[in-house]
Order: sequence, then structure tokens, then C-alpha cells
Amino acid sequence: MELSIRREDLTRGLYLVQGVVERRSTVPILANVLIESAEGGITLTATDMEVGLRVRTPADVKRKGSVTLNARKLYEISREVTADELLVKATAAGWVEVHAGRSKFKIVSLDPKDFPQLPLAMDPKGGVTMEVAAATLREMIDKTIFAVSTDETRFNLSGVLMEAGESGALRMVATDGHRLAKIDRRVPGPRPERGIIMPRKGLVEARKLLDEVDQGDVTVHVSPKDMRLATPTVSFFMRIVEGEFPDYRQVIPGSVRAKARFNRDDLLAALRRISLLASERSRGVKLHLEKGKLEASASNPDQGEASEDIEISYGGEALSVGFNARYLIDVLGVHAEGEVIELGLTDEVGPGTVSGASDPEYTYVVMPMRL
Amino acid sequence: MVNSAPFTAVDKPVRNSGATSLEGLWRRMLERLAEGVSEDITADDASQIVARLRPLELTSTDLRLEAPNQLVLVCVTDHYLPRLREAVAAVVGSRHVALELPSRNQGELFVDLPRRRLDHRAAYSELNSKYTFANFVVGASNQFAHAASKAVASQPGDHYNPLFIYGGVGLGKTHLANAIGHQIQEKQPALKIGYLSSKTFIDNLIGSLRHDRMGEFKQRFRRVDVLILDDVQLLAGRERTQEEFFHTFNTLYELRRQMVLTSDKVPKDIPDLEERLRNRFEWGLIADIQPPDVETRVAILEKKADLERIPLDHDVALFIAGHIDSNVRALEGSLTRLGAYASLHRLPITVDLAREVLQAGTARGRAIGFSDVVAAVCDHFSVRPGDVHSKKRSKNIAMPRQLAMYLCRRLLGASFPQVGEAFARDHSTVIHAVTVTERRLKEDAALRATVERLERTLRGQ
Repeated sequence: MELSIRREDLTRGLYLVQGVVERRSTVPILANVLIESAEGGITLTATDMEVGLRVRTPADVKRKGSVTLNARKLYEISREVTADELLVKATAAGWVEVHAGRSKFKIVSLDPKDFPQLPLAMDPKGGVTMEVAAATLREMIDKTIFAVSTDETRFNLSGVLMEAGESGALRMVATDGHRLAKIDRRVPGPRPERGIIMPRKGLVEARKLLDEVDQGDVTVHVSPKDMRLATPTVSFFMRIVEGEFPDYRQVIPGSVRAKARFNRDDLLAALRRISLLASERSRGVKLHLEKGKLEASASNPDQGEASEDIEISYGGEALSVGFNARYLIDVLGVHAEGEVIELGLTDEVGPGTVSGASDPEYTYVVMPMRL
Repeated sequence: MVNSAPFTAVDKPVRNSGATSLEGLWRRMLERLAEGVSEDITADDASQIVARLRPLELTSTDLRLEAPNQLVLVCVTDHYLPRLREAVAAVVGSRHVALELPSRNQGELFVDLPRRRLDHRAAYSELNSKYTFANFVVGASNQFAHAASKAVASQPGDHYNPLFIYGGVGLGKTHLANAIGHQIQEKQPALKIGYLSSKTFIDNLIGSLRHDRMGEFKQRFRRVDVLILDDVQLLAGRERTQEEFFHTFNTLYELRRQMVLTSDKVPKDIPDLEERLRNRFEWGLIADIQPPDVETRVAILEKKADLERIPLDHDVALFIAGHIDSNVRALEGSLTRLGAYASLHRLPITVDLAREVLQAGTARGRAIGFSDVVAAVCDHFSVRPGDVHSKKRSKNIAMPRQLAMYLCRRLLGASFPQVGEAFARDHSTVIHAVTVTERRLKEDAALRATVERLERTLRGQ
């Protein structure tokens, strides 16, 4: 194979595959990126067998063929050289030369035949295919992924559930057992018949691709084994987590005892300040509601205490509930600036809820902490 | 363009909110930790224990990490904290590393959420089918350990209990331990064999402690007929594990169940090993494996080449055996590398190719060849390499030539015919040259100093 490619195009493609390549794999070829000539350019393919992607990028192919090169090294080369154009040329017996300006690199290529076949086709048979706005998917991922569990023994919580919501919306849910985030968004097209759990790593990579699309649509294909995603230039797949997502519906309270409204920015800023003196271990803060006022306070036997009150809209009885400040900061952080937030509280041990007043389709449930 | 931002300049705390930047940093710290592993921490340890921590928050002064339970917290604090601090410093700059437990006062959303049982990992490993007596190369260095292993394998529990095999890294301890297991399995299929590394034993113990399943753990390890425990030196400094193993040992010993232990040290040299355990390790037979001599090394290479279908000539085997003299694993590794290189480049395996590949693989200094020796000698005596290779017999050329032959024998481990070939001489000429040089060295102190200097230069010291 022989081709010339703009450095900018190569760097972008290699950036996208970096997160996916297996750096310390026992299978050496998985550290490599597969470069193949294609219509109007080349494709770059990489996988760790759990997640994989193929980027199409323009290039001037002079001689067709395919090679596999160490993805990390090639990326570093592409970032270090200054020439605008790189020349990539397969020479005899498993060697590839890369020329960039006055630099010349000779790199070992592993046999492309050994590179695994990836499930990247947008196969219409089996599973469902949807067209979704990239912006919508981005929002849904951002508003759920932070609640994914990192406890490896809770494997069925190690990803975000995607399924059909009751009213036909597309739904994503994530929980770590202490809090739960659920978002419904209306998108056209069919829905997956069964919910799938998308692993965190796959979603992080998918999220990167979605950034590239900006306002356009992406194609999402869901099958019982994997989730695939296609943007105009990238095909992507992730294997889904095997396991049963717990019945989250039963833990979302139908009603709460007290409801208070306030500006998102006020509580977020107050919590960041107050939690500075929360106990290192629990990050516990106490929220005390009374007419027109919410007082957030924290104390730490080793260091001292802090409190701050903010104006809220609340007319009910006085009520105090403790929370892990992080769980509240996380969710307030993904709400839009200036949004009016509705906080629902039950009692010291019952679930609390956080939602945007204008967005009933995004629900967050958080369990209190006894302080 | 994406550049990694200088995180040391971060003034806002990095949290796991929305963006997963802290997760990303944490992954890099773990990678860093795994890269910098040393003898006392393996990459597995790092990934299995330290990776259980979850990053909570990174500020300009602190990195807060959450341990899933007390055991992980204590384990990390006792064993990994200094290394972890280094890894953290390498990624985000120096931070106070604070470990904390999830608060028990935190309410749970779900009443009874299933957790994956940790014993999905089998208690025992599979015996490695590659390691049998049939493909163990016996030489002077390991024949005692081999004979003892054979005896134990034919009558487990009767002869030597425990059989304690010790020797350096990559000399075949695990091979013998596996071979014992295979033979017992073959001859007495009814016996239950438990083979595992001490690492797995430790992991199992930790898993059982944390899930409160010690009863199950005890059962599992005390129900076997033969227990083969690899790398017992890893028990060093692990009090709780030693305690548990002590009881396992006693139970099995009383039931006359065979135990085979391997270690890279004799019991008395294993640091932080409880006296009563050390004692018990010495009850049976202690058999050592020494580094193989050159004949054994050649035999090992040829056997391995046969198994892996690598076409290997005797002179290439001799060459490799002459260069790698310590460790069987390194020896076999070189052969594998040579085989892979030759097949990738479709080249025949020759002494020259072996030299090239081995040189590329030597981390410290490159291997030296005939031409290096000749060049060094010529340089010292101010003669031309062409003269050394020529038929000239004047004393000022013959003496350096003989010395060069002598050095080739000594430093390259080359055989008389090999040296002869390199100098276009008969092997008897080389024998003569070496004898003459040895006699001169005895008599001539100045020459001895010269030779020492040349050897040092050539060995790159």
C-alpha cells in the first residue's frame, strides 16, 4: 500500500482510535491500528474486542492494500512531525515507511489478516436501527453516566441501561445503588425490544465520537449482543454488559412529602463551599428546609463546621435530611445554568428527588445519609 | 488537536461529574503504577487491589480515593501507598492521597441488590499442559529436584512431605510442580489435585474474608489429596495468609496428603515468614535447582525448538546457550524471539541472525561478536584486522591473533571449530593458540593486565 495523507486528517483519526486500542494486551495486534485503502481515502480500525471503531478519512491512495501499525507510536509520530503531508508506504516483508518532511520512520507492520473482524456493519437484520440527533444522545449520556457504579461486584450496574420508555421515548438509566438517574427523550423510529446495558468505557468512547458530529444525526443499532453507532465518518461498536438491570421503577417514589424550588446555581455553589468542611469519609451535608429558606451545613469533628442558606420557594413544614454532597453536586452539575430545580424530600431515610422544573423527563433519585 | 492539559495547574477540583476526566486521570495513574512494578508489587497486584479504589476528588492538594471495604483500605495502606503516591505524582503532581470508606450511613436504593460472587474465579488453576516430565530437560543442575519430584509423583504423601523445590527465576520450579500434578492425575485419576499459585491463595483468602465465607475457604483447601502451591515466598509478610496456610498445612499433613511447594528462596531466607511455618517447610525434603550448564542449555533449546517447530541448527543452539547462561526462561524467550523474527522476515536461522536478534534484545549493552574481539585486540596491538585474518606468521601478528582466538573462546563461549571458522584456521590451530596464550598469561603479568583490560572493554564495563 502507498498513500499520502494530510497530517491533520491522520491525527484526528488516530486520536479517535487511541481510547480503544489495548495498550498492554497479550494479543500484540490489538495494540495496532489497521489501515486499509477505501473509497476516496483510507479507514483506520482499532479494537480491544469489547469496543471497536473504524474511522474513514480522506487520503490520496496511490497503491491499494492494508497494513497494521502500532497505534500509539503512529499517533505520536503524527503529532510530533511538522510536515502538512505524510507519506505511508508498505515496503517488503512487513515493514512500513512513513515519510514526513525530512523525517523518515520505518515501522514493523503485523499481518492485517490477523486483525479481528469487527461487528461494525449497520446490519438491518436482527435488532433495531434508529436515527438519533447527536446532541440528544450526548445529553442523555452526560445526564446518566456519572451515576454508573464503579463497584466491580455490581456488574449489572456497571453501565447505562438503554430501553424504551413507557410513552415511547428512548430511555437511559444509571444507578450505583445510592442514587439513580433516568432520562427520557423523544426520538423518531423504533425502540429496542429489550433493554441493553452499555458499558461505561464504551460510552466514554461513543461520547467522544458524538462531539465530532455536533448538530447532525447518528445511526444507532441495538442488538442483543452489541450496540453500534455510525456517524458520517465513524463506525463504532461496543459489546453490551451481560446481566439484568435491577427493577429501577420500584425505587422512584411516586410522591414526596416536601417540594422546594430554587435556582440551580445557588445550591450548587453553596454545596461546593459547604462540603469543604464535610467529613472526608462521608462528604455528608445536611439540608434543612423551612419557609422560604434552605440551609446547607456540614461539620467535621477534626476541622470545624460550615453553613450557608439560600432563598427558596417552599411553604411546607420544617425538615432536615442529610446527603452525600457529591451525589447532589453531580446532578446539579449536569443541569443547565440558571435552571429552576425542584427538590423533593421524604424524610431522613426516604428517597429524595432532584429534577428540573421545566424538564419532568429527567429524574434523579438519591438516598439520604444519616448524619 | 488534543494535548494533555497540564493538570498540575488545575485549581478547580476535578470531580466525577458529567465529564469523566477524573476517571481518565485515575486510569493513567493505574497504568503508571502497573508500569513501575517492582519485585514486591506485580502488575496483577496493582490492577486487582489498587484498581478497586474509586477516585472521588482531586484538588490542588489532595486526591481522595474510596475503598470498597476495610480490607482493601488496609491492604492498600500497608503495601501500595508509597508506590501509589509516586504514580499519582507522575500523573498530576504531588498530592496527599487520602483513602476513605463508603459511609455506612448511606441509604441504599435497592433492598437486596445481587453482587457477583467473587469465587467465579476458580480456586485452583489448571495445570499447564506444556509442563510435563516428558519435556523436562534433566541436567546436572536439576537432577536431584527432578528425581525427588518423580518419587513424589509416583507415591504422593509417602516419601517427602512437603517437597520444597527452590531455585532462581525461570529455572523450572513451576515446570516440575506441574509435572508432578500431571503424573499423579494420570496414574491416580481419583486423587483430587489442587494446583495454585500463592498469589491465588492470597486472593482467595481476601475474597473469602470480605464476603465472610471463611468456612467455604477452609473446606476448599483442606479437601484436596495433593496441594501444589507455587511461589510460597509470596506469603512473606502476609500474616493473615500465613496463619490460614499454617492451618491448611497441618490438616493436610495429618491426613498424609502430599504437598509440593516452590519458592525462589530456601525457607530460612524467606523474609517475614513465621517461624512455625518455616519449620514445617523444612520437615520434608528441600530440593534445589541450579542454573543449567551449557550442555543442558543446548539440550533445553533443542527440545524447545522441536516442540515449537523452530528449525534450529546445533551451532545456533550452542551460540545462544553460550550467550544466555542464567535462566531457562530467558533462554527459551530468546529462541521464541529468534523464531518469530525469522518467520516474520522469512529468513533462515543462522548464527549471524541469532547474534543480531539477541543483540537487539539485550537490554544492557549488546552482545559481542568475533569482529568486536578482533577489533579490540588489533586496536590494542596496533595491527590491522586484515593481518590477523591473513596467513602471516611473524610474531607481532601471530601473538595478537592467538590472543584474539583465546578471547573469542572465553568471551563468546565459541567452540574451537567456530573460532577456527572465524579466523579461517583449523580447530587444532585454535587449540594450540589457546594453550599458548594460557601459558603466556601465567608467566607474563603485563599481558594478564592487558587481557583483563580488553575483557572489561569488550564486556562494556
